[in-house]
Amino acid sequence: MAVAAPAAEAPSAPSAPAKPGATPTAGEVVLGANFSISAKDTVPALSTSQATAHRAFDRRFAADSYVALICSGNVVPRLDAMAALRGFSRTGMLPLKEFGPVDWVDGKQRLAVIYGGAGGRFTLSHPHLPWQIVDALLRPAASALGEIHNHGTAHRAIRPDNLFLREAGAAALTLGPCVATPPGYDQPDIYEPLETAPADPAGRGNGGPRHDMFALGMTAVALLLGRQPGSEYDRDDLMIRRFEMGSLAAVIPPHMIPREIVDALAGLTADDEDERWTLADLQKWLNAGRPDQARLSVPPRVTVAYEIGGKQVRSARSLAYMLGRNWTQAVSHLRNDAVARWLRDYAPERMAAARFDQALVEREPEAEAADGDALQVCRALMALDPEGPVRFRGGAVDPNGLGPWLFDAMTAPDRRAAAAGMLRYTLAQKALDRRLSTRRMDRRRAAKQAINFERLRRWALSDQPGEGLERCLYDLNVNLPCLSPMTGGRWVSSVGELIRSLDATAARGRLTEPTLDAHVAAYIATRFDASGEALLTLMKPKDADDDARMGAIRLFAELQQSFGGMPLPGIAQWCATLARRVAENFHHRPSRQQMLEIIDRALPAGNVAAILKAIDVPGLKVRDHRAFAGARQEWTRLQLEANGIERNAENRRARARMRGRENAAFVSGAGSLLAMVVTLFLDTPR
Amino acid sequence: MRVSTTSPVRVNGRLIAAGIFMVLLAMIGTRSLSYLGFVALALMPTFAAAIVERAGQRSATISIGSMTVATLMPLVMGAIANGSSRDLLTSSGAWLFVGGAVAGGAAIYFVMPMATVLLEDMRANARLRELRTRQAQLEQHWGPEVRS
Repeated sequence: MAVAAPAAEAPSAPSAPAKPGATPTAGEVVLGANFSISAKDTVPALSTSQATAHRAFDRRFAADSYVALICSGNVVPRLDAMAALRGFSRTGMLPLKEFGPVDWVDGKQRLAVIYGGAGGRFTLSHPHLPWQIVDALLRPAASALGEIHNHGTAHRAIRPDNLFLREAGAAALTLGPCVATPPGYDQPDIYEPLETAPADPAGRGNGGPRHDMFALGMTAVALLLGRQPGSEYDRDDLMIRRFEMGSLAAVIPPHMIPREIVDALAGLTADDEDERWTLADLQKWLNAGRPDQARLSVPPRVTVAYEIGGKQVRSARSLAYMLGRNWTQAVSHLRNDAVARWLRDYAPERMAAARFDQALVEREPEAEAADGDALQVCRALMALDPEGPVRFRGGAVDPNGLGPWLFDAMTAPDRRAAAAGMLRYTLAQKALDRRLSTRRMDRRRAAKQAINFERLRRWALSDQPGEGLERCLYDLNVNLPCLSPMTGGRWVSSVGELIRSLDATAARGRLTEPTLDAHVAAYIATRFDASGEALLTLMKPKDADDDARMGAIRLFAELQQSFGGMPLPGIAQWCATLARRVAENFHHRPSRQQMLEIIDRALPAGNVAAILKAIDVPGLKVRDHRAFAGARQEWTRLQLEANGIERNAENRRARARMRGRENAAFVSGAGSLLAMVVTLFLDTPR
Repeated sequence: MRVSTTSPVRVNGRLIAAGIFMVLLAMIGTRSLSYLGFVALALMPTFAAAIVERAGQRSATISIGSMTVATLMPLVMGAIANGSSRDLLTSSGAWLFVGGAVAGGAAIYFVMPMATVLLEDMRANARLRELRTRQAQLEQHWGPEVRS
């Protein structure tokens, strides 16, 4: 069967692989102990907008062909999925061999993912027959998805241009890479279910197996049609058709679907997640069973459409979609009552009008005036499309996909306000609360989730060190490396690595004292639970008091101990700068001198704990203050006495003179005796 | 009416001293008038000091007087004991002793105050040095901020 021709850009065999342990040559980057990546040899077939593919080879098995995806760093890669998928191989998927940061040729560390080599890229050039679709796509994909879902993750990148031939000339297709970007990031809208399709690419959420089933079904439709489904419509028209006709009917008339495969396509692309086929349903069908059939019903069309943004909509969900796409226009639409009237009179969803009216009267008591309209539109859209993404100020995100979306939004200054609003008004929580009961989580998980959203709200509003949007970012993306420029472009994925990186920065002497940026502070606060006072010191060391400075040094000392007590000469230099300031605030000079000597002795060994020990003596500060107060009193008393002596010199002399005269009478008595004796002995009468 | 501030004991003491002094002069006068004249002339500086000085502050009178009297006594007593043959009024030796006594008394009167002032200054300077040393020690231990 010729499902597809191998792509011309398939990687060729490695020309001169290095031997194990050999020094990498120029342009060759090493990942771990075994893999080498050729920075010069790209593989366009597997390159995407956010990851370039390069030829790689295992240094132990020179003949094997591999591909390394080098992540751009512009989006959040799926490290949890990488960990889940590493090391196992299955028909229908490219095996993920290894991943990790590499020292890339641009001088930065980038995340590299090694995949087993593909035989060629699948090209969607002509319609395929149902049996070809079953044999080439559905069977191998079902096998692969079974393994992927068993490992607790989802593929979320199933689409025709991410299908490959495992080997050149092979009939079966394999699912391509899926971990270099956030879930669903590169998916055209048509391969995403209706709940997540309107969301921004980075905000489609992790989703689950049923998202994969939908994408697989729509990929099968693409193979059936020999082109992208719905490519004849523009984006908005296609989405409106999907909302109003159902996703499958929107791209292919039901009567054109071959009878052999119509059940599978209807089941896999069902818009109602509860009716969509599971993997078990698909496997049952592949084994000639008959799973429950999804309803292939076309929603009733209303006669009077509502016009917005140049498009006519005929359902509350498609209206919500268009209002979200034109949110600035949406404000005026909501104000003139036309939307409410149309919903009451013509919308097919019976409860939509009531929910919409309720949403319009709700108020956010703590909202800023500038956000009032955007919040009203957001609430209205939640009411009209409770299963859809949260739409606020032009941004759209699935409530469970905040992490990668926030990363994406924070890279553009104009989207930062939308990101902050999304968190400070807990819009994701409100969206989840409005969802239908069958999709809502149990009470305990819901309570935990509400606490998490409340924490995010508090951090988003806070300007304290270690908080703000950066804290939300690292909290929501548990595997995100520290994005601070202070890491020097290194892939810093743990506090230990961050400390080593900061130590290297400090050792280079570019910063004589710790002036950490918001990213480092938030990263440490998230991953190490550091106190705000210590972080403030590390961000603004000149403004901190002694307690805060000691808190900062203690933080580094604890970090040093936590990571094996490795020498940190650079950070020790920072801490010494802080410690010297603390020592200089001690009044007693001998104690101060002693502290400074201990600090200087601890520097070469990079021992932060010793520096802390030098200045953190219990009660010493109080004793110093008390003794200093006593010394000041004594100095003042001495000064008063000296002043008295100097000031009363004339009086004292006058008194002394007086006393001298008085004493002269007594002294003359002794003198008289002497005079008498002298006269008696020396006088010779003549 | 002017009220005397001199105490009765002091007045009585002076009267007794004056009485004894008059008796002595009388006894000397009964032996030789020239001796009495010698004594009177020898005591002239004392009388001058007594006139110049205020009552109650006659340190110079006492100093000069006591020295003069202590010199006169052996001279006059020795002359009387030798049969009053010595003419003290013309004796240069006697006048030399009297002059020395007057000079000695005056010297005591003038030197004693200066010596006392000098001694007092030395004591004050020593105390000042002690205070400054202690202050310097405090500054060495606690820094210049201890002055504030």
